[in-house]
Amino acid sequence: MPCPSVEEQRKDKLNTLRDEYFSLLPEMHRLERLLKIEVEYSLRDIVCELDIHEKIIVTSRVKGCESAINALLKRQLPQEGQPGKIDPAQTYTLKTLKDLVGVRVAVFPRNPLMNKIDDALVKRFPKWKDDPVILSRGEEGEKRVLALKYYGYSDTHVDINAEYQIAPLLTHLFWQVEHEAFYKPSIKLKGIENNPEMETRVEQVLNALEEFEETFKKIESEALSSNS
Amino acid sequence: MVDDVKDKIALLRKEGYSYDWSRRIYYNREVKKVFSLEALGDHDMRWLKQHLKESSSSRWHFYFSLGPSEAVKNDLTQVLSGYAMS
Repeated sequence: MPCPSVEEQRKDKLNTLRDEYFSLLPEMHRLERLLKIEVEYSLRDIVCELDIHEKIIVTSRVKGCESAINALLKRQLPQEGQPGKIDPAQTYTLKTLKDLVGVRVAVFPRNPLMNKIDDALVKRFPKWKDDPVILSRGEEGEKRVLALKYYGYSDTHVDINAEYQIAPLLTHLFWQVEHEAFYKPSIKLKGIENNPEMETRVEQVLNALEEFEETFKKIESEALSSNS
Repeated sequence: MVDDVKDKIALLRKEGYSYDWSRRIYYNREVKKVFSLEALGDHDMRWLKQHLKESSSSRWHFYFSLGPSEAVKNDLTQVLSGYAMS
């Protein structure tokens, strides 16, 4: 009996992963709701003390089917046209992904709220692993932490990984637009996120958002000092 | 390279360091040490562990890739010694 080709094995695995995704989906949605509630509850004291211009917005999402499968495939299956075979002894499972379910806490202004929120959530999820979102321009380039991120298993779901992020609100809003434009593009725009000119513009936007907050904070401090 | 920086950040967080978003530094008020994010990228884990082990003193210690200048040190010392980050 001829061995299935790499392409046939790949298609077979894709179908298996899609079946797995839809079998996990009800629990993923349940975990999404529970995690969002737990995060919001953990932040209740901080939310109660917010000044009128300060904002904390909690959003959540379940990773889409194709997005989850693509993330896993990038890591595990051989590339088309390259020699190699899928290891029949290895089980490919979406459960190895760290972010099937995600909650994001978007904050304005970033200082000092993000650290307060971080402290509160680390207390609630002490065993979750630290995996910050870092922007790095090449090996020698400038680095910055764009968002705090942690992943782990919740008390109620010990086999589905979830993550929570704490990000500046302005960055979160920009990412929403960027995500729609870059990661759900028409076929004409595929790969746009890797265009060097686009990468430069993205960094400029992030710089501008950070500078906006710095200036806001400076003016706020000056106003508070002059009123006291 | 980014994964390497993440490992160092994880170690700093485990040692009780907090991140300042404006200044891009990790600081610990108890041991009076500050590491810049740039320095974490420029040095290896051995460098970080060595400096974490060094005993603390009443003065702040700054571990940056370049400098910092006296003016920056004074500014950071003032801010970090206060009760809230500006």
